Order: sequence, then structure tokens, then C-alpha cells
Amino acid sequence: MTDRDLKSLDRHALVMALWLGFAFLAVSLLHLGIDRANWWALSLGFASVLAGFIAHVLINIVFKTLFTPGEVALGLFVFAICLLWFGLAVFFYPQHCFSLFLPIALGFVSLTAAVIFTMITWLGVRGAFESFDIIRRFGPEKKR
Amino acid sequence: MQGLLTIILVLPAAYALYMAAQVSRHVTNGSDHLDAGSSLANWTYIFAAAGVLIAGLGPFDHLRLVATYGFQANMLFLSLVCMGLAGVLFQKRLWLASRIMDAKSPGEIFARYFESPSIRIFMLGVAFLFAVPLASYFLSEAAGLLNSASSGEISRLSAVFYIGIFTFIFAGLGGWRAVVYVTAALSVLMGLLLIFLGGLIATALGDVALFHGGLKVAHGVLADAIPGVIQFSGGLGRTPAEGGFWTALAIGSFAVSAVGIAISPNFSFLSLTTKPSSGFAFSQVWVVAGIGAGLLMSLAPFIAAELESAKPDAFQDLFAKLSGLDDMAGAALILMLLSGLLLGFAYFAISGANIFTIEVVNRYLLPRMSSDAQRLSSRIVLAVTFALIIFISGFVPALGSSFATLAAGLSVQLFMAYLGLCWMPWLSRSAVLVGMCFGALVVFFTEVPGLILFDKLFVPLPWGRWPFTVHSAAWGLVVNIFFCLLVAIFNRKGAERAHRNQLHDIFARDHKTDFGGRAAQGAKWSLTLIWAFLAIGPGAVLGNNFFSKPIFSGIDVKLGIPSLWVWEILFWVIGVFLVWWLAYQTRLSVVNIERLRLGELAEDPRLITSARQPQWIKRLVDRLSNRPAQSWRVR
Repeated sequence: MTDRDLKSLDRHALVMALWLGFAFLAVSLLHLGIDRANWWALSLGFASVLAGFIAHVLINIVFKTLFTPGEVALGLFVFAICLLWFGLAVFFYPQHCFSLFLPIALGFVSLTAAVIFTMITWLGVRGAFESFDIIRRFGPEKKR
Repeated sequence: MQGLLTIILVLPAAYALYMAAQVSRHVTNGSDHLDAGSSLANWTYIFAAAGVLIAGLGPFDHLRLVATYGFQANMLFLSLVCMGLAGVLFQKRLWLASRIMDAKSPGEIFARYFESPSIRIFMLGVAFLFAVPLASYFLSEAAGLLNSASSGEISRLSAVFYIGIFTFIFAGLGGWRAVVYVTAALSVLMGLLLIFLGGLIATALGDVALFHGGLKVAHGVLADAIPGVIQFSGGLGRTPAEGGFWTALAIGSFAVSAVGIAISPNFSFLSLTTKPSSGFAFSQVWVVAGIGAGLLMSLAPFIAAELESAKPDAFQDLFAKLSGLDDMAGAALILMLLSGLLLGFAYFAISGANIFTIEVVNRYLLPRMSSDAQRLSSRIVLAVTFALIIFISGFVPALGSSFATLAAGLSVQLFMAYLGLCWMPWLSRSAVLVGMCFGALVVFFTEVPGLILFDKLFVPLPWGRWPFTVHSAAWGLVVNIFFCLLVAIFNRKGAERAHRNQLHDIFARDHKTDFGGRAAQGAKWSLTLIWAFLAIGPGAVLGNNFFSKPIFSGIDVKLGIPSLWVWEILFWVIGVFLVWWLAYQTRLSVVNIERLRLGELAEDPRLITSARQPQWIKRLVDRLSNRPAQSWRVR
């Protein structure tokens, strides 16, 4: 095994180790918050996700790496599923969700803001925009 | 609840298997299976070391102790600062010795430094006590916890089998690297869940039991005071101590036994398999002495106040209460306790098995094995170790728990050997061995197995376990130091000394410590001793009333929390400062790899390949391995 493989394995294990803890904590707090309609628990749940994300960014800084494609895909998938669940819940159970709308919405907004802030500081404004610039990536210019 | 319990068990198990598969896919060299190529990353040491030390101390048992004995037992968490201090004193130099001598295991370092196979055998014995009886005890407790949490649906025996077999498969697949990765992950999980549960109990369970009714301690126990400096009781099982067992000397001597975990061969194996490390100092100062001790001593009373110490299943009520609040909260409690227990079980069992493979199989039984054969041999040793553990925890758990009590006490008898290797070349082989033997005997006869053996075979001993409220480890260490110094007076010099000086000359040449001037040197050692006297020694009794009834003032101050708790937190802060001072400022834990010359005192390769296998073992192995072929020819 080369040093590079070893470093990559170390990074992967560290990311997994931290997310195992933070994800369990976040799920417990979010479940408690939704179950008991407790906005403190909900906020702390989102804070746990944010803490996990910050830890992940710090790992990237220490190991001098970026998020891997797999991590980006998994993160986006989980975020999209949660957002979809929240949208459907608001649509189908508006009365139940009303009391929790603000903390959950604020939680999603703060996570999105954290991701955008990280991308801007890491890649610059142009780089961050280009990451989403699908038209240029798959458009006719590229084909030529 | 059963479904949720299954999910929270399956998820960490899936994580462990995934990591094992990843490691086995990447690591193709068979010998790396045993020691991860001695290249574990710093972060693994930082997290795993803290987790292993806390698990070795036993958070599960300690919560029950705090529930039964109150704040006098909470003082035991200061032992983590002592573990940090022991790490500062020894870990760096042990690691350097392993690289300078090109030795792969703690037993090999000591055996070669003192030129004594007896020390190797003693260390193997200690490693075995951690690997089998202590690991069996952890597994048995974990299975009991699962049985109680599932209301009997998962039987204790089946839990023992499932956990044992799963851990064997995972360790056999991923080897040492995967074990340390998972240990680190479980440590993080345990720490985060402790914060979560402490916070939840302090905020969401209604009235905080600690402030409304306090700890439900056993009858006659002082809940928030240390019951004197010493009590001249016959020991546990003979005469009870008044006001509780945890006198100042009981706390101090317990800290001595905790040091035994920090200098055990099993724990040292983790540091030896780590890369050149800045992680030592960070782990010792901030994670073990800092966060670990701080979290436990500040949150444990909140959790312990919810436990029913009189009931055999103390956690059942708290589990029901938390599950009533939210199922996930109940599951989090079980997962936190299980993480601590399983971490201890897996780490100690696997490290012990790997040490045995390196020290016995690879060195004496089959010294010229190929890389793949080394992996196979490590798996076979793992299988035998796990079979033993499963048998003991499944069918004779009392055997495991009684012999587990010897592990830390016997391990601390290595203290003088560590002092010799790291700091005092004048401590000779015979001095260390004589001290160790006498110390071990005293530990044996002040612990459960020795007392049972003597009581059943001969006549009942006049003392019980831990006489005069002093832990067996401390009794043994006092006797050990006495005999060791006595013998050392007579053979401080001699031919052996020149051999030992080789290593110390290299330490002095390339790895100097910066104790500062004479005043600074004196301040460092005197502050350490003053701290020990006031935090975990006789001076700790001052904490009983120091903040609630300040001396000379004649007034009572209403603090809202016990004075002893404030005293403990104050000395925790001072302790962390002390560990930081010694680890970073004195550079006792800062490794300078630029001046390190690898293998400067490496063993002669001719000895490694041929002469070190004793002839009788060689003949035995040859006879066993050649037998089928011979019998076939005869027929």
C-alpha cells in the first residue's frame, strides 16, 4: 500500500468516525424535537449536523483534500431527502408542522449557508459558482 | 423499542465491518495485520487512547459506584489525570526505545533492555489478564446489559456468542488497523452520547434528581464527603468502612491502579504502533486529562442520581424514564454504555492476542514465517482468544470478573521497570524482578483470587480485599519499590549496566528533556507532589468543607453543590495545567523525529533468524509438523 492510499484510508476512517457520532446525536435530537415539539432539541439537532460538517471541513484542511465525489453525492442525497420530507410534511400536515416550521426551516437555511460559505472561502466566488455551472460543463462549448 | 435497539446495534456493527473490509482491501501485507505496519495516524491515537483508558477504568461500573457512594466515588475520575501524568512520564521514551531498538512489542523492549526473558513472561501474563479475564468481564457486562434492555428477549448467552463471534470476524478481517479505527470511532461516540445524556437529564427530565433529593447512596454512606484519610478496617468482605469505602487513601491508591492500565502492555501496544507522533501530548493533556476527566466528573453525578443503587439492575429505571421521554434517548443510554464496554472488550482482547502472536508465535514457535503465514497465525491466536473469552463470559462469568481484578494491580508492578527503562539506568534486572515478584504476590493476596484460594485451601486470611481501604495495586507497589531499591543498592554497577546505558546515552544525546533550571525542576516535581497530596491524597479530605465552611471565617456558605465537587473540579483544572506543563513545556511528550536514528540498537539479524528459537521448542514444532508425513510412510 502506498503512502497516498494509507493517507486516503486514514482520512476516510476519520470522516466516518466523526460522522458516526455526530449523525447519531443529530438523529436523536431531531427525533426528540419532532416528537415533543421542542424547538431547543431541534436546534441542537441541526447544530450537531453543522458541527459534523465543520469537523469534516477541518479534516479536509488538515489532510489538504476536498470533499470526495461520493461524499458530495451522499450529502446532497440526504439533504434532498430531508428537504422533500419537510416539504411533504408541511403540505400534508400543515397544523402539526406549523409549530416546528421556523426551527426546521432555519436549520435547513443555516446548513445551506454553511455549505455556501465553505465553498466560497475554499474555492472563491467564481469557483463556487462554476461548481454549479452545469450549462458550461455539459453545454455545446464543452462538446466542441 | 426492540426494533430500535436492533438498529442501533446493527449500525455500528455495519460500520465496523465496512472499515474492516476497507482495510483488508487496501492492506495486502500480512505482517501489517498484526501491528498496522507501526504507522497508525496521530488522530487514531488521540481518540482511541482516551477511549481505551476510560473504558479500562469502566464508566459503567463507575456510574454505579457514584450512585452507591456519592461524591467520594466521583473523586475517582481524577485518576484520569494520573493516567495522563503516567503517559507523559513514559509513553514518549517507550516509543523512542521501540524505534531505536527496532522492537515491535512492549515485552520485547523490556526483555532486551534488561536482558531478561522473565520480564517478557511477566508482561505476557499481564497482557493475558487484560486480554482474557478483563475482556470476558466486559463482554459479560455488555451481554447482561443487552439482556436487560431487551427485557429478556435477547438472552445473555446468545448476546455473548453474537458479540464475540462478530468481533472475531471483524478483527480477523481487518486486523489491528481496523480495530484501532473502530476503537477511535466508538470513543467519539461514547463521548458525544455522554454529553447528550448528561444534558438531557439535567434539562429535559423534569426535576433534576441531583438537586432534588440528591444521590440515592447506600445506607450509612456520606454522600458528599470523604470518610477520612484512612480507616483501619479489615478490607472488603471482612469489616465495613464507616461512612463509605472511598477514604482519601482509597482514592489515591485507586489512582495508582489506574496508572496500571496506562502502563499495561496492551495500552502501550497502541502507542508503539503509532507513527512519529505529536498525538501523544495532545491526547494526554487535552483528551484524557482534559475532556475525558472533566466530562465524567461533571456529568456522572447527574446520571448517577437517576440510578437506583440498591437494585441489582441499577440502570433499568433510568432506561425506562428516558424511553418514556423518547425512544431514541433510551437507546442512546444503552449505546453509550455498550460503546464503553465493547470498546474495552474488543481492544484488550485483540491487543493481547496480537502481543502473544508477536512475542511467542513469531519469535519462538515459528520464527521464519512468511507475511501471509503471519496473518494466518494471528487469526488462529485471535480465534483461540475469543473462544476462551466466550467460554468464560458465557458459562463462568465469575471466573472472569474475579481474575480481572488482578489485571491493573499486577500491571502497575511494571512501574519500576518503566522507570528503569525511561529514566533510571541504575535500576538493575534483579532489582526490578525481585520488586516485581514481591509486589505481585502482595497484589495476589489482597485481591479476590488470592483470598478465595487461601480461604478455601488453608485458613481464612485475617484481611480482606484492599485492607485499610488501600487498593491492592498500591500495597503491591509499596512492597515492590521497597525491595527494588533494596536490591538496587547492592548491584547498581556491573557489566549489565553498560548494556542498559547504551539506550540512556542515546536518550541523553538525541532526546533531551527540558526540565529548566534548578528552580524550575524543583517546582515541577514539588507541584506534582503537592497536587497529588491535595487532589488524590490525604489532603483531599480538606475538600469536604473547604468551600462550604471556610476555615477561620465561622460562616456557612450555601454553594448549592457539595464543596467536595468544587474541590475536585478545581484540582482537575490544576491537574490539566500540570500535565500540559510537563508534556509540552518540559517536552516530555514531544517527539523530535529529526534526531531519531531508527534501529540504532537493533537486534543482530543472525539472532532473529536462527539462535533465538530455543531448541526444545524447535524440536517440538518439528515433531508435530512432521508427524503425519512419517506415519504415512510407515503405513
